[in-house]
Amino acid sequence: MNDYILEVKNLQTWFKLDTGTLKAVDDVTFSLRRNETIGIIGESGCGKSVTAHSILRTVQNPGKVLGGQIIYNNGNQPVDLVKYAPDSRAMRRLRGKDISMIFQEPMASLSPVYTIGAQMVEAVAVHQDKKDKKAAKELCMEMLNAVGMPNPEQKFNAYPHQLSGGQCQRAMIALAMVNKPKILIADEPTTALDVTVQAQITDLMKHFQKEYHMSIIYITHDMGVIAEMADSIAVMYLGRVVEYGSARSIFKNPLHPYTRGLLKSMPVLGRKSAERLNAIDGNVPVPLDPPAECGFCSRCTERMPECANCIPRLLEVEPEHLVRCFRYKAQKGENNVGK
Amino acid sequence: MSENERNRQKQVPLLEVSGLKKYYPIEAGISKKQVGLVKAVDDVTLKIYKNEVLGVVGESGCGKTTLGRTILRVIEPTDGSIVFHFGDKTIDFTALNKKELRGMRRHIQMVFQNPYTSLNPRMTIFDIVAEPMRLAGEYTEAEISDRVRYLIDKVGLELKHLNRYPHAFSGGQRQRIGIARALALGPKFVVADEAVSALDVSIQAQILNLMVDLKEEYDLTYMFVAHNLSVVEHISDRVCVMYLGSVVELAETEELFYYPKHPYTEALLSAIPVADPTIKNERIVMPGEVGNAANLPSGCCFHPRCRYAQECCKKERPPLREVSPGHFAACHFADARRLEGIGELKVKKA
Repeated sequence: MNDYILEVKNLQTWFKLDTGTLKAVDDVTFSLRRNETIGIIGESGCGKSVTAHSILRTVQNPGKVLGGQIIYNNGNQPVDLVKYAPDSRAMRRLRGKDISMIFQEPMASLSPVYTIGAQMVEAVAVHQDKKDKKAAKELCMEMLNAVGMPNPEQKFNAYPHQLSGGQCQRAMIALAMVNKPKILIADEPTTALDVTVQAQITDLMKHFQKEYHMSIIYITHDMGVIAEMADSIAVMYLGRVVEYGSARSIFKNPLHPYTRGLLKSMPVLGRKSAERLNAIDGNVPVPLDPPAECGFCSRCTERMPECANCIPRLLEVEPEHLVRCFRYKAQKGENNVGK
Repeated sequence: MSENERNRQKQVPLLEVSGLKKYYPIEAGISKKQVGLVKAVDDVTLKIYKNEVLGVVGESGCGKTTLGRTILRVIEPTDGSIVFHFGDKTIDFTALNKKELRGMRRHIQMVFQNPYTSLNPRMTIFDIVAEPMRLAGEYTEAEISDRVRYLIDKVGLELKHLNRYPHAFSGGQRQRIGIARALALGPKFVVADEAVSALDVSIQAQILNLMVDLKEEYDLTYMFVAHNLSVVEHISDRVCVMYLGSVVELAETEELFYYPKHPYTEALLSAIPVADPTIKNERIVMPGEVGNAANLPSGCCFHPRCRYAQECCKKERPPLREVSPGHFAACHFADARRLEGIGELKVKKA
């Protein structure tokens, strides 16, 4: 048995619009080991959330997963989620049970018209055939206690608007964890929260990872959080993974000019403030019918002539450290040019 | 006492706020009987010196936005005084009537948090930036047009953008438009309320650099309200930490980050994630959440979450006092205890 629980290979999710094809995710590759956390980092519009939704097969119309593989291996028989229809029974059985997701805006992603308890009991009833409401409620209460919800008895019957942002996120996590998933996808779970609450929530997720042997896909744009959470990191830009490796190697030795730019552009505590920040010039382009070039070449300070001619391939430059950039020459016999 | 601090004390501050309060009544029933008070800003006293950046940090609901808006009298204060010193003119801002206040607005401006909601979607960029000058009524259209072009160039946009509407711009570009609008009348004091919080890291750096450049060029003074401590550390000369409507600590940036004197500051600092996987952050976990501004805890507001709390903290509210020159803290034990700053909180992982 190989130790990867999830392998995403060359994933493509495109939105066919009247004005053209929006290639939100165009060649994303990464793999997730058991009990590990992969961080997906990138700026708004780079396709990190669409990647997450593609794995769960919940991409909104007109978006479609058009290519690639998502191999989920729960220990028995590896399955390719791309082959399942989004509304198929098999997919529905996985969704929320084996793979769960927590969202960025806890207030907006819980239903405002049901109590926290009702939403949790529903999740249990769907997946665990607990006809007995009492048993389901017990399980939910246990979970609310585990996420450190103050006053769980009372909060069970509360509506989302009666909770604070931090409490809502705890409720979301309880909801996602109630079926003890194998993989938890966390899409910017702490972006809307204060640092102190953020610290509590990330600690909580680490705790659950240990207790339930869960793998986490952690999506964020915050380099600080990712350094604390992730074992490996995939850096995304314009729908593609541009760098992929262990967290240590990416922070210690970032290879792609974009990763280096990101690391330099954020203010670091304790560094003298008189220093100017090294901003990356320009804006993220919109991947609407993108030309066949390196997506970053319009903002790159190290661009070369070939960058605007073809798309580079994700290459293993150092052991377990992959980068998509023409600056790193391919080994003999390999081709640096992607599709 | 640092060199900067010594220089600062010789100066006349640009802005003096004392005893500023903003209370919101809680009303209940048809008769609108007042049943309580939300103390959004509770007795804040501080000075802002010319050409400095004062960072204001705190968790959501601590009153930092209300403080900024109350100082500009966008929200009318319940009590307290706001005094501006422009050159040799001293202006009691709280005593101005509506008309005088309008005249003063040119000197003090604001950059807002959300660039998607703070620009009128039905006005072109030209009109948005020109509006403050048109309202001031002292400029001819030709002057306005020149000034708008100049400003648009200054904030890093192109002239071809002038006739477009806000929807055509990205978040970073919109924030640049917001900054151009704030600068239109040549203000002396700008309140930036979470001006970079909604932006991506690489864009955030662009805007921060722009704000620093403009500050140097136009001799501006900023009050920079934010919840991101790394950003505040980067841009601020002095930092003010707020908790439940009051200032709990105020000091020079480096001093505050390395030698905090209030347990809340210590806990805030330890919660910042460090962008280095080889560093293990020994985090101080504060129990619970920010208290309720409608029902403040007795004594020191922070005592229910403070890991050092003693009996006296529950009874007596510590005043904000000068612990060392230029370093203010509101804690009974500010001199007695050595708290950990960002120097000690990071421990190298094995």
